[in-house]
Amino acid sequence: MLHKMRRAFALGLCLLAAPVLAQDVKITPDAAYRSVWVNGENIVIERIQDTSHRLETEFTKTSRPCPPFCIHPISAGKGVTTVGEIEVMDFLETKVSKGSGLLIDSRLPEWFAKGTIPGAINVPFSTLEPENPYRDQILEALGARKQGRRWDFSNALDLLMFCNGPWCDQSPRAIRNLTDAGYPAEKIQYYRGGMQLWLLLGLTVKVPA
Amino acid sequence: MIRIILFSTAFVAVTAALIVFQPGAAHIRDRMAGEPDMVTRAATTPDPLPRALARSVEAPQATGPDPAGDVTAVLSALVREAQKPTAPAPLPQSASPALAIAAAVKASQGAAAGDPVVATALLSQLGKAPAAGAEGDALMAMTQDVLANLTGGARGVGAPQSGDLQTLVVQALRQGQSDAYLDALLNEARDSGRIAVPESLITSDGKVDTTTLLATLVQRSVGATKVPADSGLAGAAPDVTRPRARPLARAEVYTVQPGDSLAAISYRFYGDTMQYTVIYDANRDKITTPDKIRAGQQLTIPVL
Repeated sequence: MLHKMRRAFALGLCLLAAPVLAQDVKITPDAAYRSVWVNGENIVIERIQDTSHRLETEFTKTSRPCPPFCIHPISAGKGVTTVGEIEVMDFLETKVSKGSGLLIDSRLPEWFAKGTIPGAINVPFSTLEPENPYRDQILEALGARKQGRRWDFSNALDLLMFCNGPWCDQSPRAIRNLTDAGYPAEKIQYYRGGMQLWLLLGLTVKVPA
Repeated sequence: MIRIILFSTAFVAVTAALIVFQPGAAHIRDRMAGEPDMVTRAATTPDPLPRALARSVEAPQATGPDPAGDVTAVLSALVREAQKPTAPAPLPQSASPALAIAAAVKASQGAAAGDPVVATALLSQLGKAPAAGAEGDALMAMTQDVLANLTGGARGVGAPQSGDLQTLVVQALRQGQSDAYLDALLNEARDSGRIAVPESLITSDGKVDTTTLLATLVQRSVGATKVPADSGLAGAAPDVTRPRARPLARAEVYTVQPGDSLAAISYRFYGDTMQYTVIYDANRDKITTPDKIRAGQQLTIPVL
């Protein structure tokens, strides 16, 4: 009898502990997760709840050779705002879900395919180089309109760009090429932390279908 | 105040209950009772306690999603993605570039896919592994993927209409339209500002160089598609796509013909539309922008 009671008690304690465990790793004190609708798809961003979890991927490397993997300054250009993870999630909520902004992964497709920030789309930096003869099509898809030889960016989308992290050249380069083409700097934001910090914080990563 | 008292009482009760019942420690106690010799701390094996603990944490793991399991799933998906074999279907060759693309599109189509965006994605899938060395083709494929992503799925109400050259082409080819129709269609779309056409593809008459555009698309599809050696078609591809295989011995002078575009000239001399930049750079004194060439102009064609 006593033995059975003990068992029941232990089980009860464990059941009580479960919900407490689930909330251990929040994003901010008042938000355990963020949920956004993008393109009719519900995106949930949360953190890995296993407090002993460690990165075991490519992103544990400390000493990639520079160049090309050099440390980038906070600013990606005059007028371009640099943001962190919370702002990325805010951007998804206020801009991307409303169709007035795009979260852009500037890396090459093979990197994108391995996993990206949920809600991001892939616009590889190389497609924004002036050497790409088809770049105009991309600018048009971003909402720019060609008027004679000049571009009208008044209806262009807000962009938030990232790549592999503070040691990654690709999104700063894409931003430079966009602003050189006349894209307004105030419509562009830069998430410098990139995949490196996103992964380090245990935030949800999406593997594109 | 009453809450604090109740809380403290509950706390004391729980603590007391824990001390009395010692949940999960039954094993050790039973074992220690059975083997009184093993009382000393140093002598007891550390196994039983962790095993008992492990049992007690099994329950919460079963009730919620297991983070470790999720990571494994992601990793296995990654591995699967990396191992996925790419087996493009063989592409039948034909004399007309338009027909070849139509065949390529049809071959990649499978069942019925009425959406032009889907077609673009399919076409770009065809070109996902472009011929080695043709950097321009890779860029074109990548651009198409980007456009498919940007236009794919209604991105809210304010989503701008994309000027997608390839979509127009694929749509027309799907309808079985002729090259002449395509040419008219592309020119009309460009004049009305619906599509953006690369400057190198503007002819000396100020029109869209449809032939070269189609040839580029074919070149890309062919490059991505392996023609089986025993099909008798293996030798056909270079004839369609590379009008001039031998490299230039020395720089030549070329007189622009009506209907030429820089891309077409580049294609004629180098077998690759992307080398137009070389010609453009060599003739900066005569050409202000790549879309401004005139019939009768003498252009230097440098050795690559």
